[in-house]
Amino acid sequence: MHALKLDHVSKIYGQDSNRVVALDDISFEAKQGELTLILGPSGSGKSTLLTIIGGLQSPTQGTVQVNDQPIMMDNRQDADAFRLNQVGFVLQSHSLVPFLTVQQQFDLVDHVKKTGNLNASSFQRYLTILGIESLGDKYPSELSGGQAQRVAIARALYTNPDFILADEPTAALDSARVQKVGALFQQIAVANKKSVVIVTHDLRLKQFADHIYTIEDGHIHQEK
Amino acid sequence: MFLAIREMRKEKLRYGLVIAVIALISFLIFILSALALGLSNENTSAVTSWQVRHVAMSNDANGNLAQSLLPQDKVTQLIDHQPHSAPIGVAQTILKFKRQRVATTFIGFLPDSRYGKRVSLAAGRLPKSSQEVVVSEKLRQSGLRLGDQITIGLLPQKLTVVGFVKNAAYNMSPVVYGDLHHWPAIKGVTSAFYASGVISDEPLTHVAGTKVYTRGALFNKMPGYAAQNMTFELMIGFLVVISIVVVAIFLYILTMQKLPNLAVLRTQGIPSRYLVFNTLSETAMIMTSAVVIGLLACLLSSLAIPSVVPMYFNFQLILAVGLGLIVAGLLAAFIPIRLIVKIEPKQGIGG
Repeated sequence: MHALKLDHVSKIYGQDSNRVVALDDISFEAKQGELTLILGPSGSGKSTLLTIIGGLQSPTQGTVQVNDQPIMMDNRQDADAFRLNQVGFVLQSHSLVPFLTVQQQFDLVDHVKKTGNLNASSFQRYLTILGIESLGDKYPSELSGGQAQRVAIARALYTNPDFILADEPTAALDSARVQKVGALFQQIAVANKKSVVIVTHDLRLKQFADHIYTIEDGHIHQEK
Repeated sequence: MFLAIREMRKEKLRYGLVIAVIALISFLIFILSALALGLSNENTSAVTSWQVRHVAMSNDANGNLAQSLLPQDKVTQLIDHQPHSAPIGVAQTILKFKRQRVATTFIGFLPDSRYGKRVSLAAGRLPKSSQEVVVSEKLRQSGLRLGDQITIGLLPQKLTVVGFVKNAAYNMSPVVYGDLHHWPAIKGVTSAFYASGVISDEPLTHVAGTKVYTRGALFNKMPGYAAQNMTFELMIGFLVVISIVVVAIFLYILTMQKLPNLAVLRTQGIPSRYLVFNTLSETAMIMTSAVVIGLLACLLSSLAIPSVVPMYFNFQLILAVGLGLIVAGLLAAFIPIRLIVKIEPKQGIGG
């Protein structure tokens, strides 16, 4: 079973009078088949937490473990390989390469990661679920906000990662679209046995979460 | 390369303009290179065609063969025991035919000189008597034809043109090849002087009152030759530096514009080396396209440029200049590459 575990993680920036504690003694676990929601306002430490979970920076204290193995952040190539192979990122903006069509966004993945990506039938199934199967030759500038977000989700799933990390995935969506995206993430977690972690301040996603944490001033509390 | 090709296809106007600017610079570099080589040939092509390596002349001539005067005894000493050497007479003078007057350089060889036979004929034949000459094919443009009678310098008798020669220019003037025995009269010196110098493809022994120059040193001593070459080399050098700066600025701006997208790719685990290779591929494609367009424009322009403008295209030089420009572009790519390598993967996460 895939699991991502943070154990007493702290992140401190600066020293002495400039010292800022972005994350303070945070522990939690995101398991396979579950959707974990981390809620918090701007400046609460959400993004810092996401960068640490995603292997983008090291904690000052504590450990981040994937399947009981610590993430090796010291080696840049290992960190790149971890993110490429095991993590699917759904980001707020600039998620898609503007000069590539939707189909080419996935072709790019094939160029960099030759094996282990979704096979054609699984990929087609995802495209159908996401409702983007007819958008292959469109450029990101030709897509609506919702379509671009769904393509970004498909792009994150295409590498067949163990973990999906989403940063404010519903920031630009109306309530109806939030319901669809929330249900989709829930389906990805349950039906595809992924561990999904969503970092957001959008309370409309709470109904889809298996676990809910709130983060404020670097402290985390489990709500559900 | 995958990203580079797609990006250039999508952003045709942007990359088209970049390529156009670099193509214009490369066009200018090709034109200047062809002109530099053409002008250089106008000075040296005759000497090059003789395939000599060493030239001896009077000390006082200061390396200018046309100003050198050697008496018979000096010539005899220079060619003594030197089977590869031969006397040569050089005189910058006026050729007259019909009603035309053309500034030329008369070059006289002995009838049996090996060097006189090394010239490359474009039409006609080599002289068989002292009354016959072969002349630069450029003189055809002045209306000179085979069989025409010419008067040259102060020589009282007329000579007959029996052949036209390729690559026959000396110090910017077309060459008339004739008998060395006419040289004192053409130049207007007494018969005490036998020749301007002695040429050889083997090293020459030093004789008092004379100085031996290598072929390169002879060229550099030609009036204006070194200054002219240096001027062109400086212009071409500056243009290459300008092209490096222009490419660096364009690539820097293009990379800065897509930095947020590249940061997201780094966040997603796309390795830096993939993005670096992509930038190098993009640069190579931009530079290659620009160089090819610049070269084609240069070749087309050369058809329209009047023949009095000396342009000479040398395949090896074109290849070297083209490759030099591409390498210069790749060097310029190191500035955006530095930007890409410095991208922190966490930059792709907002908030």
